[in-house]
Amino acid sequence: MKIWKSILLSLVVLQMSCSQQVASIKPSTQNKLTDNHGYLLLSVDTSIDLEQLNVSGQKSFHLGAADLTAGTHHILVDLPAGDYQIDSVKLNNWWRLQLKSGYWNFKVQAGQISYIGDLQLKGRLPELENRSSMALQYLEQQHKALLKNYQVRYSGPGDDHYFEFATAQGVTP
Amino acid sequence: MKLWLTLAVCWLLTCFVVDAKPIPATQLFRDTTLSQVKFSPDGQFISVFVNFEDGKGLALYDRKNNDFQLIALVAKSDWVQQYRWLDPQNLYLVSGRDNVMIHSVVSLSRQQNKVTAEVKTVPANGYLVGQLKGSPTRLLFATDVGRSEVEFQLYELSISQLLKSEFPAEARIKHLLDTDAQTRLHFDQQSNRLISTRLDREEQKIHLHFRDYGAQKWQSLFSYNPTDFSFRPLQFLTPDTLAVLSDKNSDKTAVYRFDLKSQQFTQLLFEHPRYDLIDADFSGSELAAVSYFAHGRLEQQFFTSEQQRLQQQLSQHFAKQQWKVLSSVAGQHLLFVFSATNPGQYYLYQPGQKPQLIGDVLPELAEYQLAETIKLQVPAAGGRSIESLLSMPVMATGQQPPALIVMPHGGPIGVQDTDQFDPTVQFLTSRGYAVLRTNFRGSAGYGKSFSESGVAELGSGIEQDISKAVSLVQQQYGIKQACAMGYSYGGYSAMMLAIRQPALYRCVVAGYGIYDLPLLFNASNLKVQPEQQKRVEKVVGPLNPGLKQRSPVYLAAQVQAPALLIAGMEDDIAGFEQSHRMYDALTRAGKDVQTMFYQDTGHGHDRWDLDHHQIGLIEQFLSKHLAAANLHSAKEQAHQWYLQAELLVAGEKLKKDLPAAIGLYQQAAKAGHASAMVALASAAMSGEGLNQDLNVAISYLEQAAKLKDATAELQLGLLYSSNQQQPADQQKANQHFGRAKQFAPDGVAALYLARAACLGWGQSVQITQCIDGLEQHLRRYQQHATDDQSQLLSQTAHRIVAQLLIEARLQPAERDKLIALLNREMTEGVAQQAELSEYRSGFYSGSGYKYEETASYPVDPEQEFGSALKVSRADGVASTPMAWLLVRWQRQLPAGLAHTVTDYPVLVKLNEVVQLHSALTTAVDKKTGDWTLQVYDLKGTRLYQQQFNFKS
Repeated sequence: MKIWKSILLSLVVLQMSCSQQVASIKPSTQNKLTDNHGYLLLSVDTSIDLEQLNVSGQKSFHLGAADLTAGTHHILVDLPAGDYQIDSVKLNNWWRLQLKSGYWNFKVQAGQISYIGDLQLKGRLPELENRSSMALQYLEQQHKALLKNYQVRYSGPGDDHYFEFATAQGVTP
Repeated sequence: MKLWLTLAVCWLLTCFVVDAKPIPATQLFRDTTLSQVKFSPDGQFISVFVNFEDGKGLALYDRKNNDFQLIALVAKSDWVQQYRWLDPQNLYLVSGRDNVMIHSVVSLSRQQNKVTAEVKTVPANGYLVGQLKGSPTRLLFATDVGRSEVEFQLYELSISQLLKSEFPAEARIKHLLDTDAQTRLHFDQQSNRLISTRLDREEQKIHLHFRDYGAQKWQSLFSYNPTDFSFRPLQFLTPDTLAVLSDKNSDKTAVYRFDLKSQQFTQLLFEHPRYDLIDADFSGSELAAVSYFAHGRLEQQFFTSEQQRLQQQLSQHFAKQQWKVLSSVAGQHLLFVFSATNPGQYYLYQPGQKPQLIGDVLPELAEYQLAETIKLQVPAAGGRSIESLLSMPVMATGQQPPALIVMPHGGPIGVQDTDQFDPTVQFLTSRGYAVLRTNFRGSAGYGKSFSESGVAELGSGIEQDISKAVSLVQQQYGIKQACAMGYSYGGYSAMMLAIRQPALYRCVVAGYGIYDLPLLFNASNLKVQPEQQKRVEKVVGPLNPGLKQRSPVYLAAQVQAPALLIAGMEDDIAGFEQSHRMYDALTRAGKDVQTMFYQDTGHGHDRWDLDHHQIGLIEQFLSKHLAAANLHSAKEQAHQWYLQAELLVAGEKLKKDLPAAIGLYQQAAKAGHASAMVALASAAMSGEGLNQDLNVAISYLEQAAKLKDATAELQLGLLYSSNQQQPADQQKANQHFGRAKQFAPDGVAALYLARAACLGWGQSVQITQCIDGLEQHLRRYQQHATDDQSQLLSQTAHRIVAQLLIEARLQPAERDKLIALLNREMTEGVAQQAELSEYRSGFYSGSGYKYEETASYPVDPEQEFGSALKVSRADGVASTPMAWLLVRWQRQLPAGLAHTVTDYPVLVKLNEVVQLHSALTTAVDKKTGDWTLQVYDLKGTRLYQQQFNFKS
């Protein structure tokens, strides 16, 4: 019995150590990307505080409660470029929302800001919604310096080129 | 002589001069007064759903006195979905409160020409499938519905069994086909058949099956994808054939005979050469009538001689109007008569007699002149003809010709404009604008090919059709300036029209629209799925680079007209990103754009006050850009400012902004808006938004009181009866309460006057007058328990009763009467005495029973304080689990006076803990000093007291 418990505990520990907690980069950061890294930009729209958002892929990580309070929050994270998917959302100690595979995939491109969408969790079906115009305004207000050095592109479901169009028009007055 | 002649001419002119004036939004965008008029099965009664000032619910129409008797009241905030007669004595009513459906049975009884009604709620969760023919009444009820993991069951029951929730096993109907949440049952009484309708979301198909009531085997009626063609069963013509409205085998929706065995349409019964049928009636198995919209107007053709005679008679009585027969019993007919200038009237008609008006759906509009519709037609590509509806303004504005509002409808596929009363059209025309609506290619009502001709024509053929109609109006009426305005697809179309014709369009109003066509394919991880993409393609055409050239977002630099963008931030039909992206693109292009983005709002509003706010905003925008002066009243402008302020204070639909709200209240108050004055008085009293200044507050209230505002009089009464901010003056308070009662007899002022009589405030003590006054007022004006007004009366009465039980000198019988007022809504007995012991007290931690107790507390408005008390039995009566306690909060004033902040009764469970809290919320409260919590029993004996000392 003890052996099984140890293995189970190890698995839990292993799982925890494979998934690293990351935090959103603070506004006005001067952060520079290292080689083969890119920025992931997403927003989370929730009516309740959440515990954890779990993502697997090139690197497994999770966002913690500080970035997942009730409301709408943009989250910017420095990650290795590659393919990822959102796996699950931990609501609290008793409930986890497991997201169906195949619907939550995205790519982080090296040397740029990859915006993947707004994760809508407000009581209806979870959905990853393209709100590029709001993401762009967020970057222009909170991460001007970053935007000078790195272009932002849509990297969520489907194909969209609003960023290219809007940034060519200039910054929102 | 000349003077008399002049006066006579003037009198004649005033007789015939039209009373043309702007119609307030509150009169146009509102609930109807009457709806769902029906005969009882024996024709003895006419039932109506009414929504009057003094009551809402089901009523019976008195033909002799042309009056209504309410038989089943619903709360003002409830809505009625439908009702039906079960038999001559019983009705089944389905109403709703928030998101909950309420099913009830209304039972009538007649005694000496007086009808009384008893309403009982159906306790079970489910719906009425139908009722069997004959007597006694046997109902078919499906129970346990709507829950995805539970299958529903069907029972045959009497009314009594349904009301008692008796579902005996032998009454259960077996051999149901599907019993999941996607299936809906219906019983066709005429054929004695059960019909099952099931929506298969994955296959996107509707499956219809039927079986004879007593049989076991189900047969397929039809299965189809509703996006491919229409299929609407009307009635069984024979056991094996069905009358159906469909366009499967024809361009137009026509009425067919459908053979159930072969699953084929075997006979075309009627097809109109130009228009889709919307309904067909049968006399036995013979086609009796068909109806359709012809150039937006309801037209009917009758095929039996009896129906044709009726048509001739009604056409004479209601020339130029549209009408439909709702039902007929024993030679009497219930009619609904309507037109563009008639929101709707119900009539009772017996051949050979003049129709008797039962009532108007919007009677307040009778004093206004509404705009008629002019029908226009223009040729369009492909040999088509495009129908339009033009409404010209009623009033002479001094501006000839009027400005034109081009209003494309939504869709764009499968929607049409009709020649019926439209509140937006009448709002605009009464302000001097002409309004043009066009049934462009893609609109419903003209057959499949016309509908399909709109596919992939967004920003192209559709707008060409509209522009042709606009050109005709310009030629015929000399229109020089226009704005484009629309919602949903109409918002997109308005933008595209303004982009394509910048010389004509002075402004654009675009609400809840789409502006980036490629985004429709990429809006989310769910919208990129193949089945969703197909749905979009069916309207927009396939995703291709050319869609950007027809997307206003990417053409923002070409928009020259100022734009007003309206959107709901939770719009899951158009998607909020569409509007935000349009705003973003216009802003980056340096264009003139104004936004109104409503929080917590979807694809439009579900509250009238928000519709009023929205149309008021649109009106301001249009008048600014179309230079149309004096088309709105100062009173309406003031109300618009007031509405905006209310939304900014509430912080629910608009972001909370108290300073902006105060500014708007002040503008409205300057323009004479009484409610705005009251709001400013409240701000000055509380110190929220204005400096706390009692004199300023009183000044605002007195101004509003001069305008006969009941709330202002009430607030003045409460101010003068309280010693909180100045010495009390009870006589003055009573004068104000008296006027408040005069202006709003159903309000709470009468309760405060009764209180004064009990306590001898400003008058001699008159306990009997006081208690009787309380009882009578509540009995007369408390209608439905869940109504806001009824709840306010109840809460106010309870507070006053609590105060009287604590303070007034009462005889035992008088005390008992007051206690009876507290107990009038109780169904079980309540103990009159309890014992209390303190459990905890102090600053409340926010959870459980954790309090922090100190000798003195800091003034902190975020912090609740109070006591948790253990409540135990005192009277030894084991059968009453509840007890009333009277709670009093007081604040010590300078000079040793005590101000009672509030008194209220609280119902507590015996042998449990009750928590009694307060907080320093208003500017008046946020001061150092002592607060006292006292708890009394119903005999006025103080059971508990605790002081809380606040220091800076």
